[in-house]
Amino acid sequence: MKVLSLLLVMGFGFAHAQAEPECTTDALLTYNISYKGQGQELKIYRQDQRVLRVFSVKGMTEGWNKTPTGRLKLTRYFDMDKQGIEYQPGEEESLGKKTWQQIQMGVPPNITQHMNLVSTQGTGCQLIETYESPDKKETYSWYPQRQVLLQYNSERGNPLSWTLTSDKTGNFDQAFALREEYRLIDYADIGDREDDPFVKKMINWGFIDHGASGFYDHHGHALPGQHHGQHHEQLQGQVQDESHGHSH
Amino acid sequence: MKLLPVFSLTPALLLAACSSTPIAQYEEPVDKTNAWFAQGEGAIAEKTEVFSQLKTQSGSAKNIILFVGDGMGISTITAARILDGQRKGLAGEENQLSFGQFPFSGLSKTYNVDAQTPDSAGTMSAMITGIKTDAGIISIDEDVERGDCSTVAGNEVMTALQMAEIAGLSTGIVSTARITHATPAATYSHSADRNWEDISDMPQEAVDQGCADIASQFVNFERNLEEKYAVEVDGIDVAMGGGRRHFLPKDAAFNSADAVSSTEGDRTDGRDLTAEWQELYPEGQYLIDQAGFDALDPATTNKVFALFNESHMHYEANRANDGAGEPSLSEMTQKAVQILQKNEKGFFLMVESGRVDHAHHAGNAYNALSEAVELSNAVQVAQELTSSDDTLIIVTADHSHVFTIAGYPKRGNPILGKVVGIGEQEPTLAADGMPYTTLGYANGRGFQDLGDETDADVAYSLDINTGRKDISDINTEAPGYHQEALIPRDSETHAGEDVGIFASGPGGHLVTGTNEQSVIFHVMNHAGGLSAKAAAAMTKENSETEE
Repeated sequence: MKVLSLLLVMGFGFAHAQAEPECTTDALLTYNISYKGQGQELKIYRQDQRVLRVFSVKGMTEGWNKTPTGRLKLTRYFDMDKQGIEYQPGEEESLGKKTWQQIQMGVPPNITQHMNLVSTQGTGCQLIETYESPDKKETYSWYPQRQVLLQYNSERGNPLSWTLTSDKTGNFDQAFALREEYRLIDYADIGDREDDPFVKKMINWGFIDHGASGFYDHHGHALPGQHHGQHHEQLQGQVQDESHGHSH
Repeated sequence: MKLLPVFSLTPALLLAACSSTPIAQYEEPVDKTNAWFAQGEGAIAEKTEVFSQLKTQSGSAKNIILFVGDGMGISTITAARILDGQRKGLAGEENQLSFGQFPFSGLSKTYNVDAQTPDSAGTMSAMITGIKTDAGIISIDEDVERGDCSTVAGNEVMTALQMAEIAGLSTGIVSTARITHATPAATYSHSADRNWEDISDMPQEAVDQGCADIASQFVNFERNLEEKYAVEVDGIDVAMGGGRRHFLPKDAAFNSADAVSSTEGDRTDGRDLTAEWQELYPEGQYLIDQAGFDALDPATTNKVFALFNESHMHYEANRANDGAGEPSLSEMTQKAVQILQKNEKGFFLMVESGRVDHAHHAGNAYNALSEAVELSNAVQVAQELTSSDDTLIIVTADHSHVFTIAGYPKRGNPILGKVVGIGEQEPTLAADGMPYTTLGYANGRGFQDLGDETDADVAYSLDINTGRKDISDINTEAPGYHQEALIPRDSETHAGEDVGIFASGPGGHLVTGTNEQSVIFHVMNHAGGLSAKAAAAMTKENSETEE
């Protein structure tokens, strides 16, 4: 199965190699994440110093931006209600030491520190590197120039896989602009907003399930989510994020 | 000679009647060598002196400073006093915060017209207007319907700051919360909803009906007052705090140099209120960071508008984490007083420690008490810069929190620590066999062990975790420790019991007793003669106009 996965990755990369896209980290990346036998889709919009991580099934988006001083600021958007909670920079760092790479890529490349480079393919922006752990329980493929994860598989403990299913470049202003129209509340103000029905609902919803936070440390260990999230009904009519661009 | 019945005579008198022996003099049955006793006697002497020199005449206070510790109930004050003392190397209990040494104190009943346990808007409105109103309302009487702009007109109530302004005093507001947040907002604006901090927070209907958002009312304070009362004023002289986002357009081009959001401003009307303010006051100083604050010279500055953060300012314990630096509450108070006191007519200043409340909501005593200690420092600064002969200083809270000091810890036990009983070295165990902290909350998000984390609000992104925990191996004195709570809630709540009022200076004695919270305005008004001076100024203006 692992060999097949590697072949698929190489084929994916080969097909993309023919398109000659720009070497940019800006992108709309769609991943299928399978963890503990459960799958979910994660879309990651990357543009300049901003990232949106869209969990459509849960109706929730994480918005990250890097401040001029390099700190990370999080805003959680609740897409069904078009409202959100914003945090002071740095709070999320204190809860797992998230890095910009983790936010942009999900599984950061420093996970390969304990792996061996087993193959390379392509050149420049389309260079693909594939790593495998000595015990062959983990594989990691990525575009190092574009900082894009292609595929990650782990059979340590709970089976985990990240698979890039779509890779688009272009302008994604609309996706960000859509959420900038949401009504936001400081989470420092939550205590003073008990009268707001949405505030009560937001807090008790929970955010992202344990183990499926979309963040992994350099050992490939899933970082726990911040809440035992309650699953929402699948978003009826997903948020239409217009992405103007082309696929790799 | 008629003999008097023997039983009607005291032994001494009987002896005197029957002999020439001098009357025995009993000594007072007290131990004056006891330190506690001596301290008590000294206190009576001081109080007697103070009460003999009361300034009761209206208008005796040239200056008025109102300090509000948002959420700073009695248990918070007591615990903060102990923590402050312990930080100084004392046992703690015998310590006094600055305002704990004020000669006058009383209690304030904090309920709103429609709420047994109140919120900051209705409570501050009561303190600053003399009239109680509903929860969530900013300086409008109870005839208003929350959120309904059409019920505002005619129900606005003039505030003490507005009166002071009309009377020709210099005026200022300082807060560690957003300047548009409930407590500071109540001093200068009127709003049917405390959440209408900028136009994007308002329903379109309210905008169409002519209600102005709170930030807009701040910038238009001078014009609004002049139009409504046909007077000549010069606007709020000092305003320092957070909340920059409510004054800037929702356009990244207007981001401040230290913006942390990709788009800092929230306003959807395209207005840059910081620029409007600067245009109104070309000589005024608009500041956003520590460097600007440090460069501010009170001797030559007459107008300052400082917004140090997009939203609230940092907790005092977390202030070092601000990218561009923020001054402390005591630093802001110092410069505010120095600027305002140049006015020979006097000044009115409101200083709020806005984040005791936030820390309690997050269930974090360390930050709540640190904020209260910093408020004490700010009061100390104000005292040193002014004279109790002509300056009324009031320190109070808008409401309390469900924060308790419990168990039987021995004298000097770390206030943030686990209960260790008299004569013991090990923590006392509860009936469940586990230790417990002196401090706790009746409700809230409950226990968290976040170690050195100094931002109390981090707890909101973690699971609610109420009930008993085994804290045997946990350092409960660390900044990031959130105390156990009983009832699970999204956030810890306000409490409904009375809060303290502490006063010094002319009229301060009037806080004595158990008062409706609205009486605080009346104390200030009597002491400063505010409404009378405002009326005199309005009369003079209008008579000059008629001429």
